[in-house]
Amino acid sequence: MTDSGYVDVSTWAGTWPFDLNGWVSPARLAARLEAAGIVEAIVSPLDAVLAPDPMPANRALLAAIEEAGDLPVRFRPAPVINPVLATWLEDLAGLADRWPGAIPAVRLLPTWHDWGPDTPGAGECVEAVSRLDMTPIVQARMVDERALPPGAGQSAFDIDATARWLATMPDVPVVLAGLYRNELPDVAALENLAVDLSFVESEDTLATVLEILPWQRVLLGTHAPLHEPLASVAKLPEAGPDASVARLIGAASVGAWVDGHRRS
Amino acid sequence: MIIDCHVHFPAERCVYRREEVDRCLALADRAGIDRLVYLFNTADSGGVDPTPDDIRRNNDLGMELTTRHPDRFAAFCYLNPAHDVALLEAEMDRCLVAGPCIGIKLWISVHADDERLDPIMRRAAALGVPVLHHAWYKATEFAYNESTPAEIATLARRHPDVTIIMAHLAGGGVRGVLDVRDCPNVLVDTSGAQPMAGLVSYAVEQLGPDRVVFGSDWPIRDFAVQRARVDGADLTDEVRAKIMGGTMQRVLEEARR
Repeated sequence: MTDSGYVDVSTWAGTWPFDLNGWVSPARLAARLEAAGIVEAIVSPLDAVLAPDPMPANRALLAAIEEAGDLPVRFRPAPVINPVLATWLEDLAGLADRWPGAIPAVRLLPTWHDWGPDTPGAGECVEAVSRLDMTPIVQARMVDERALPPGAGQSAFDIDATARWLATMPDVPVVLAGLYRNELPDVAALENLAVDLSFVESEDTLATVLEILPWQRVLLGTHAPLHEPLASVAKLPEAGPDASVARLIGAASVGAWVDGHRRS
Repeated sequence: MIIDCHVHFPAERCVYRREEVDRCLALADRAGIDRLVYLFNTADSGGVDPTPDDIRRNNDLGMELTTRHPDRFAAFCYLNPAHDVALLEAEMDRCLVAGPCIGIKLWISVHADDERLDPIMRRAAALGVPVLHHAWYKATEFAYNESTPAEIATLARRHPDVTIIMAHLAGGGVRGVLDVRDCPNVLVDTSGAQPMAGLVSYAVEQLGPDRVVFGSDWPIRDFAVQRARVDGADLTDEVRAKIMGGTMQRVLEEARR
């Protein structure tokens, strides 16, 4: 956490048609996060996940954050870019031009946008995001695959292929969001990679994660509003042998990873 | 009193080891959980179709936990309905009549609507003990004879005198809640999958505040994370207290009579 609360690398605003939340505005999201002790969050537009073109949802989110004014949570946008679209580079450059310095990260969704490491443009997109001084966040999954909506028909996330792919760009710092605990060993050797805690869980979550990764590569991610944010915060114990490291992860990991790698 | 109705154990060969118990209880304490209901041992369960020896070994551990730590553990009697009725009856006599078990656990050996469950359910009714049964809806492949909530509803209608705790709210999801809504003898435990926002309060809206109970599925899941999915739900303090232990305390007290 910062001096006053936690920093969250994985939140969303907008509408996810497969859950019970309805439309979640920045103000509504802020209220949920504040109740879990979160004071700063990187937020992406849910509507961009399923839209044929993510840019209207990106622009709507950026405008909504500006219009929301003072909220109890400081939101920092992470627009969604889809590298299978012919316009991805133009979209990316347009965002950087329109909101210079205001976009710390860009979220990429290989499963929901049906691309993989071999897709033309995928690697170039990750590297271009980094060149524009933003952190690529690769979103492994949006939901537990067992609970996919009927008819979603998407391919499963391939951790082996993704790890091999990200190993080819060791100078690009990346966040891999939404991994399960059993996928963490596949990325342990990739020092350019941090993971979030949003889908990681085990009998003593943080202790088992720290057996695999150093704390500097572990980021708090709640996946709110799809997940209950308090549940992710509970992965950072306030007591016990990992409490001091948990405080560091909650306060410092996101900032150090996302902002620490920026040139500006 | 916070009661976790869905706990396994990670003991190799089902051997009681004090250090494992201490670790389990330290994690439960950190999450503020007072009592744990042991179902079976995940490290040596006998798999999807356990033998009679597997069953006895798993139940021996549960009975040892509850005998040594009566203030912290309760145990359910694990059964495989595919076994001969005589074997099932003997294990229920051993664990529920002569032993300290106060409920029955059924997993994925046999579908919940299979008639082979009937002798078990009749005995549960006679003894007044609850039956906790695994259930899930999966977009991916089902495991062995894994039951759906609809099959739990069929079982519940066939045995209306038995309290059934349907496991894994987040596994059954909205569809699972609606499947059992009209089965007043079915409670749903909150364990399973990811902490999907809004699902606990949805279950309370549909089923009422007395039919949702807290379960963690530890050590597959984390006590603190599973508790937080209920703590963070949009509920009154009174309803939350029922979910976190009030209702389960009543169920367990009725089972002890």
